[in-house]
Amino acid sequence: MSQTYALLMDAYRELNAKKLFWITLVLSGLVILIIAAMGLDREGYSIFGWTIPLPFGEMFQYMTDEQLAEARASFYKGVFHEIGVTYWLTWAAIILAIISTAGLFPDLMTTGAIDTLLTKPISRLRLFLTKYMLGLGFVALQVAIFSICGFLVIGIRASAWDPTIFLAIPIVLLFFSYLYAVCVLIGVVTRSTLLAVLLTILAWFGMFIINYADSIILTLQAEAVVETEISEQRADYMLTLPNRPDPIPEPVAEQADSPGENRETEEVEPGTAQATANADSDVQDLDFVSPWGDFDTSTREGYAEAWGDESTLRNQAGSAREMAASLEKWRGYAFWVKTPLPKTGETRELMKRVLREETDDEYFKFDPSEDPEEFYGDSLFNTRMVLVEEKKFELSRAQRPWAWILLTSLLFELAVVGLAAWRFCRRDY
Amino acid sequence: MPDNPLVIDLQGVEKRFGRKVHALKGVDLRVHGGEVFGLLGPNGAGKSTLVKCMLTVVRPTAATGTLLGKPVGHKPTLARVGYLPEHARFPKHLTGRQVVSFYGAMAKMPGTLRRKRTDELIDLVGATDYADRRVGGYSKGMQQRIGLAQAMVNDPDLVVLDEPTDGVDPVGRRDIREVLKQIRDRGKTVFINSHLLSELEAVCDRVAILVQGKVAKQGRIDDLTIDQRYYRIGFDWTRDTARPDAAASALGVALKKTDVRSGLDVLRGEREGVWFELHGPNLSVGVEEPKDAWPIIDMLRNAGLVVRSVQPMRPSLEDLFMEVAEHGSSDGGVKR
Repeated sequence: MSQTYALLMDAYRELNAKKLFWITLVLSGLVILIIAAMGLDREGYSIFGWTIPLPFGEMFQYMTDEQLAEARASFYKGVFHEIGVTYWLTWAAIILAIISTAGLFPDLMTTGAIDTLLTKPISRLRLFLTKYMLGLGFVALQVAIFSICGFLVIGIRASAWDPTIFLAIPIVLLFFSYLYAVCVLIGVVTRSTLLAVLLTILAWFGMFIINYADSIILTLQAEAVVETEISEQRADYMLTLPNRPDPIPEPVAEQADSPGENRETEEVEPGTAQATANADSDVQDLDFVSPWGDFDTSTREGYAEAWGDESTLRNQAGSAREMAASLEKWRGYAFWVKTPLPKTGETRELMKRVLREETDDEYFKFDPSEDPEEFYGDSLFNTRMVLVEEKKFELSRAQRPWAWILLTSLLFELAVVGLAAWRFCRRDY
Repeated sequence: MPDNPLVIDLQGVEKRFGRKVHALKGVDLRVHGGEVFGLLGPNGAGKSTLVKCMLTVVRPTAATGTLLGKPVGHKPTLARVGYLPEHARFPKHLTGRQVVSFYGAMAKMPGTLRRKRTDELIDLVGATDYADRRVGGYSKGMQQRIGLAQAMVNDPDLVVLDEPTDGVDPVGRRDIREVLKQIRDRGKTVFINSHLLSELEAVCDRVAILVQGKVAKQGRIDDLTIDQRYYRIGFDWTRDTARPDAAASALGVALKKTDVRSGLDVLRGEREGVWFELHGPNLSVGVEEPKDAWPIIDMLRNAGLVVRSVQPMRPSLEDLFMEVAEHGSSDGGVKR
């Protein structure tokens, strides 16, 4: 126990002597300060008291107090995740952490330093593992301080005392541990701090490239799936629409020519979603403005003029489905390529996944009997991006469950650390 | 000392680095408790490798034997060993006092005892003035003193020192010698690996000379040099015998000029198994007993030379080392 305590004290003194530890801590404080300086009220978003004019900023004026409080909490949590976790903790701070800890093993293994330690009654494996854990402790300490500050800022500024913030500690620690394992292995093999830093960052860059390629495939697949669903939905919806009535002879006198009459002929059961949709379309402006021109989409022909006839829509859906299936195959390849590697990107996204699962997924569910344009309002074109994001999340969650992310990454780390430990224990000094 | 139990008893220590380097070729070494033992050898002889094999820093290719009565490699035994490596490097962020205390903790010393020992040893090695400064700013001599203190902090039964006086000034060397004697007087064993033969000669009870991965000589310095004892006969020149070859003529030996002591005019020769060396007005004669020198003295006197002194001589450790390093030793054996 006295040995572990001595090594802990030594690590503390080493960190204390290293300026980078304090620089990282100060920078963390600045990031927290920036998050704390951000604000959300009825006027809109603000930073350091300056309101940022946004086109949709006025929406906060119509919210109830509860809605505004909820929006404020979501805002701070989002900012904490995006700025605090994604950009600071798992990006800039990680680089600083790698630089700070990369020298731990090369310094330890210097001739003249390691000799003295190895002649003490401590096993090499214990010495290795203790040093390894102390390196992780460096990051754990930094992230813990950052998370506590983030928790307090969100609590004070948004009155939301959300303990899920502390998920950042294990997630960032895991993220760092993958890279740290590589760094330790290189440090143990080469005994060079510089090489350990450079090759670790190179390995990280390699993982980033693989993640990026995988992400592009996922985005394309999500777009294809969304395209399939929308085209199918349009085709299905089209079938529920009445045919365009014959030209009404002058003077117009018969109610039977109205669209409502036609719908009755299709024997729509009252109370169904379709009936509701039809009823809504009775009162809405018939001149729907699609991105491609003005069409009367309340009739089957008009809808076909706007989006294509049924066979065109079905063909579009078929092509998109084929594309999605092809991309699914590529994602399968990416899956197997990534399986033995550490999942840096996915691990970072785990927190987002947890936060996202708390939200109401029903909001994003299609109702197949409804007009997609009705369901999403006039901006399906813009909403499509949200749909694609949602589909990406869904596909990702289905193929890449958290157990796969964590277990395969930890297996990688175990293998790399095991190799480093074996090398450390077996080599002559 | 030879009656004391063996503290180090190594047999057949062998170490290969890859296929080409055969650093140790079956070393046998025995060190008794309470003695100061010196390990000598030219560069690359395998001295540091042997020490590292003994202390588990290097894994031997083959080795049997014991350290403090336990098999070599028994980790808990290392709590009873103190070690100062060659070119010791201590954590730069620690002060000298913290270094001593840190290694004490690594040797599983209780906190109170560790602090007490640290203070005592800092004082003993004369590092009080700078003990609370970070070792990153220390000179080599200061580091060696702190290194010596850390090697003794756990009150070890065996202290292994690899070049302990390296980089230390003469005053420091004398201090270190005194410390080593104190350790020995407390019944502890000291194992020193050094190039400084005069330092070793001053403190060592026994030595081993390692040459090309093998122990060429091992034993007490007196015992190792017993075969090479000789007598030095000093005489005065007279006008009639002013030429060195007159002495040779008197002895009936053909002395040949040699360059053994380069730069000096030395004549050497041999008759009936006795070697002679004439160096100025001094004649060295390779006989072990005084009575064997009498006939030679008579011959010199009969030739008109005035004998003024007869001294029994023993080769220095340096002489022994040079001879072994240059010619090796076929016996490789242990004298006692």
